Amino acid sequence: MAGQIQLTLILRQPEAANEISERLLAGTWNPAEMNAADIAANPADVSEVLSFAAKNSLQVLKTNPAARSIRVAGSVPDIENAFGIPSGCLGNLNYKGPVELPAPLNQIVIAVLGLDHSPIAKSHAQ
Amino acid sequence: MAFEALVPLTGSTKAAPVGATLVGALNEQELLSVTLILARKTALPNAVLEQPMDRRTFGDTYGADPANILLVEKFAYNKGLTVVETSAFKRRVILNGTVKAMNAAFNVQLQSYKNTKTGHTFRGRAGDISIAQELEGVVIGVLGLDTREVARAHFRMERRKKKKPAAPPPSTYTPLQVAALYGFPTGVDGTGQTIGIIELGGGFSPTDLATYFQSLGVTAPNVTAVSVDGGANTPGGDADGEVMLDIEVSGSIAPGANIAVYFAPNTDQGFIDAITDAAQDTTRNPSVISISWGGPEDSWTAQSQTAMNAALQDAAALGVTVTIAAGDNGSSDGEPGALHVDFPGSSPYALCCGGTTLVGSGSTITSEVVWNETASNEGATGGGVSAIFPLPTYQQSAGVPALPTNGFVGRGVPDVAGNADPVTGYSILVDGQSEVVGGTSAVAPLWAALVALLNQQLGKNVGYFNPTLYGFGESVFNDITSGNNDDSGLGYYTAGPGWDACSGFGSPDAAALLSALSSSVSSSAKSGT
Repeated sequence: MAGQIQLTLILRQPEAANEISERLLAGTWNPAEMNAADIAANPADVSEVLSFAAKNSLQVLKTNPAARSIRVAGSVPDIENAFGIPSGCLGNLNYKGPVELPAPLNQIVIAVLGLDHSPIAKSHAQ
Repeated sequence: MAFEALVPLTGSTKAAPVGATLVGALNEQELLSVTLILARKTALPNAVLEQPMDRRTFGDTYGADPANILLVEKFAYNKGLTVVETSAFKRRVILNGTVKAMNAAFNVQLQSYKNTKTGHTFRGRAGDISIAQELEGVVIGVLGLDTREVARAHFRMERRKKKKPAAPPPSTYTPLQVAALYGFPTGVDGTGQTIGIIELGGGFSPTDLATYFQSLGVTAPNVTAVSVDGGANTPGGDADGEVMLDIEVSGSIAPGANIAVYFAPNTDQGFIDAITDAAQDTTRNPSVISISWGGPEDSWTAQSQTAMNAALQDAAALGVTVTIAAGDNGSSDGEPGALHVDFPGSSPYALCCGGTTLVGSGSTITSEVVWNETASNEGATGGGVSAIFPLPTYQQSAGVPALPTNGFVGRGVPDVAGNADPVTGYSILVDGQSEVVGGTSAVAPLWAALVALLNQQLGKNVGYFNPTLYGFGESVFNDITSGNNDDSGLGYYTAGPGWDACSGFGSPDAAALLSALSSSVSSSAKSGT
């Protein structure tokens, strides 16, 4: 849709991820022990984000609990308003400043991706 | 009206440049970049310096107040300056703008001067820098208005003095020749494995791939393009070299494997989505993912770094090996004057791949040293110590050095190495042309292919095996003990016996590695763990 911006909201890892991390780094993790819920977003976190999206007129395009990501779309003013971005700063999609989310979303959402479309990485071929 | 009243910035008074003559006014439309340093949220007690704390806690406690970052952003917007980067953690906001806008924003008169000794012209000013009253106590420094840099000229002379003689005559290899020098297992070809490759641009030509694999006498692997966030296989640009290198290196060594190439836009959103899509792809099921893209750690926002690191942790938890290039710009990672490592290579969940200069033939290596061709402008391997990620458990006895700037002992990279010097590079076919390409970009797919062969041979995926490799130590590697990756005269880092921050443990001694892994697979089967 014209004038719409698509964002990926990345949700925090579930509690189990801490233990997995420790065991991975210590070499005692066995992938066969994995349950899908060990890495998926907490369902309560997902519903919190979905109601935030609804409240802020953001359209939910895709909910992917396994990837802990929720894809939303909205107009520039709606997105600026929802994420506390100073008005007029988002136009060129190279916004690198902070985003502000109300509690408890500021704990639940660990990254808001898609505000900055400038290249992030270089190829390491010579 | 906000940001109208001005106050002088404490400590910013400067006399007119000495030893220089005024040339005159600058072009008002000339662009420049300034760095604003913000005050700490909380004053730093001495106790913190004695008892280092982890970076994130430190940043949260002693970084800049996010509200102040927002205030500076509003100021920038008001003055027609562009915000290039903000970091509450580093207490830094970088702004771009024209000479005219900077003069107005900071109440200065920037002018052009000429150094009477060297004849170099530079940007200078006299008097105070002023800041908007709202920023008093918030912004404590404005850097970069002035470009007089005495150390810079000296630095360049140092570099010229250090210049090495021209590089030795090139000896280049096919990927199969490099695999033979490292003793990769024969009799396996990656059958049953899928190698995932992440690409943030470019594309491949199936015709070129067919021609290339045929010229090497190998059956062409099955190569599939997977679209992420609208990315697609689009050959015809500069990034084709990367894409073809990755497919041709991994595909010629493991031609029995399926190669799934995930194309995503080159944004943090695209990159993170690509890693997650690849790691959780239940259709193609990659056992190993190769990534040859990255940027200096400090070029990432904390949020995208956190999200990407979590995605890499998921891949590890799922038992997927992720090989990532260490970068091609030495210990500065292309930001000369300071030490930087490349992310996502610096993630503790990456098998970070550094570069060497390899000389040998058949199965005999004559010499192998750290790749550093800075003098001839042919790059140097990345490597060093993360300023973000703490030292992982598996590196506790590796001897990772402290960062000289603040004593932080973070995640050390690379973990492993392999041939990367373009002078001893890989012959590949790109857009119909035969080319010799190097870079740590070649090492990530080289290691990914090795992992595919090992998985097939062992009958079990090695998965995230950094802790296992650190358990084996240099005994399963060709330990690289000569060379350094110093690219900007900082004196870091030098290779030595065992692990070091420019070659990791070294290049693979694949026979020894396979044998060590076979024993650990059979012993874990016996003990039932």
